[in-house]
Amino acid sequence: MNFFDLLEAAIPALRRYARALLGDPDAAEDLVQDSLERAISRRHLWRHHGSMRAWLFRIMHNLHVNQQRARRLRPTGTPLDELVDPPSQAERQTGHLELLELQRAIEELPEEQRAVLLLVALEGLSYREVAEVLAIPIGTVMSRLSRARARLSERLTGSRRPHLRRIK
Amino acid sequence: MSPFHSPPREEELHAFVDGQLSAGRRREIEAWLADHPEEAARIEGWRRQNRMIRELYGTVPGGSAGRIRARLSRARARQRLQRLAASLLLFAAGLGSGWLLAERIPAGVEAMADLPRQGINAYRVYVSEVRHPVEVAADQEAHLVAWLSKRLGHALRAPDLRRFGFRLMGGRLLPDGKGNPVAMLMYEDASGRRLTVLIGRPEGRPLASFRYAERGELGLFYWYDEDLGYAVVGPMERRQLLAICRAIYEQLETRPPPA
Repeated sequence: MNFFDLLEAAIPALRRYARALLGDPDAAEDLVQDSLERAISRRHLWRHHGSMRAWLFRIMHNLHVNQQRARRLRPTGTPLDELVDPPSQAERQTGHLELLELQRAIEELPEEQRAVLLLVALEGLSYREVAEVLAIPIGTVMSRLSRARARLSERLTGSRRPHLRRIK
Repeated sequence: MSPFHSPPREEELHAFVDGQLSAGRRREIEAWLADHPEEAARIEGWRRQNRMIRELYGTVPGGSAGRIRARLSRARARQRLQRLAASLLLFAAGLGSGWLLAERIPAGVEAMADLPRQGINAYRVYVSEVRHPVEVAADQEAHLVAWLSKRLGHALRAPDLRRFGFRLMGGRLLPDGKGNPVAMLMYEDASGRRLTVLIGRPEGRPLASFRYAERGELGLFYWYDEDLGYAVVGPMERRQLLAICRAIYEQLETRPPPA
């Protein structure tokens, strides 16, 4: 497989991660395109890295950090009422409601925790790769992961209880 | 708890959930969790989060995948076109078909002109230098190449021109008109004729091109390929310089065999 084939194979993962990280599909699409362009213009650097995906995630992460710095970005995220289906439908699908709650909780995580959680849980990167992608020590990866999971657990158990009570 | 193994650390519990533990340690932790239902419930919660995260974001929406594909195929096409254009021009130059014009170097009109002009200037300054023509000599070629690559931010190679009788003397780093680094390699043949190869990173993306110019007794070829621009200057006639440039182009096109 040549560079372009590997790159193309990694695109779905890039788009998936960008969407989950940013929440905003248009911003995610732009970030993916910018990342691909940068990767193509720097393909001479590629062979120094092991995993194409980890390399691309790293490029994407750096771009994202730079763009944020440039924009002094306000926290984004889709307002909840745009995400939630009409309550009647949502209440019939308990699983669906819980997914929405999780999505909201993930969006409310500090971005540094969200990035670690998504790279591990969604993209299946090793902790070492995550450390490399985000340019942080592995101990920091572990503490962010731990905090993210604890927060999500709190939110999910908190949301399940009132829901059960309502059904009774 | 079994006395034979230590209780897992928090990191190990995460690694357990994420499938990043060795098989041996995994079995130990499984056994430990069987005796610790509260911990087992906590990490079962993490596992559930993982599943839900994949369910939430796992499917890549169709959306504008076409846009990205299109961009990729344009990048592929551009790369092919650049290669083709450069080799066609080399070929045409060899035929002397008039594709290449001995043109005057335009003064500061476009960024493209910087490198060839600098090629001539640097040649005049450094080639006449007897004692210190280069900063790093060829006996330290690996160091030289690594150093110039690092400063230029691009992996470079020193072309091997021995079959033309030119051996590498060494190189130095120059600033271009805008203060960006340009690598200069200098070669010399047995008769003391010197040849310089300048490699820079032009700003913007100039079109692939391959051109010839003359300044007095000096001949100059310059071209742009992907991220880099090259200027080769030597006191020789066009046909001879062209053969050398062709060799340089071919050597830079093919990657070195893995060490």
